[in-house]
Amino acid sequence: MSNFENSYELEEEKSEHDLKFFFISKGHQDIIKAIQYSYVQELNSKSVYNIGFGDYDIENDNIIDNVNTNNGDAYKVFNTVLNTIPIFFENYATSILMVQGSDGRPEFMEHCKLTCTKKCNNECKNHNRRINIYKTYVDKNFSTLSIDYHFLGGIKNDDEETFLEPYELQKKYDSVFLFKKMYNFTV
Amino acid sequence: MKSKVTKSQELIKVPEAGLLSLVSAKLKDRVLFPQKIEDAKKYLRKVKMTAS
Repeated sequence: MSNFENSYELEEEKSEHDLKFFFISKGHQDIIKAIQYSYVQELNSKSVYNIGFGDYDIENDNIIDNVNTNNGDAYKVFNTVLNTIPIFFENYATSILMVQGSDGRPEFMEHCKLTCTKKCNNECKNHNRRINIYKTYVDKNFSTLSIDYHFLGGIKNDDEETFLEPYELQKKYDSVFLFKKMYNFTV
Repeated sequence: MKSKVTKSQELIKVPEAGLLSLVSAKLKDRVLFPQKIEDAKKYLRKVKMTAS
């Protein structure tokens, strides 16, 4: 993953079990953004980390990760988030990174209906929107990204079982897992 | 007629880099996305690898 120039400057904070980044999104308004790579659990002797991303509300001292800010600088914000991934692997080289969108939760659609102006019929257009943005990026840049990283796609069925498989382009996944190519991994 | 005078809180200017350092220090030991970690744990509870 190359370093994107059209991005914001990052403030980095590393502790024993996590890695955090902060930056200011300067679109229609200034918004403090927070990224956290958090340890989740071991999976076949490899540490799995999850990436969380949201807005920091400085007045109320809380994090908001369930709204689309629409600040007018989505690409720059996305590039900034992507810039943190190689830094994550510099710090946790043997780990697996798990990417899931906060809009992929089952209850998301019910919350979305309350404020959404989109006229969706059966399928909520905002559901899994974030993972689809990451997936689109992976699909478009797969040949370059595959030089350094292994990708797995995750699908959860109705019986709460999660199936991980080698990533296939254009396939619908509700999570993406990646890890450095120098390490093998089997479940 | 007397008008009520309200005094607003004093504002200070903080450079952006300084602001982010303050935020970073404040949130240093905090889990920012606890729900996401719980979701991730649930998601990984029954994980299986499939050959494509």
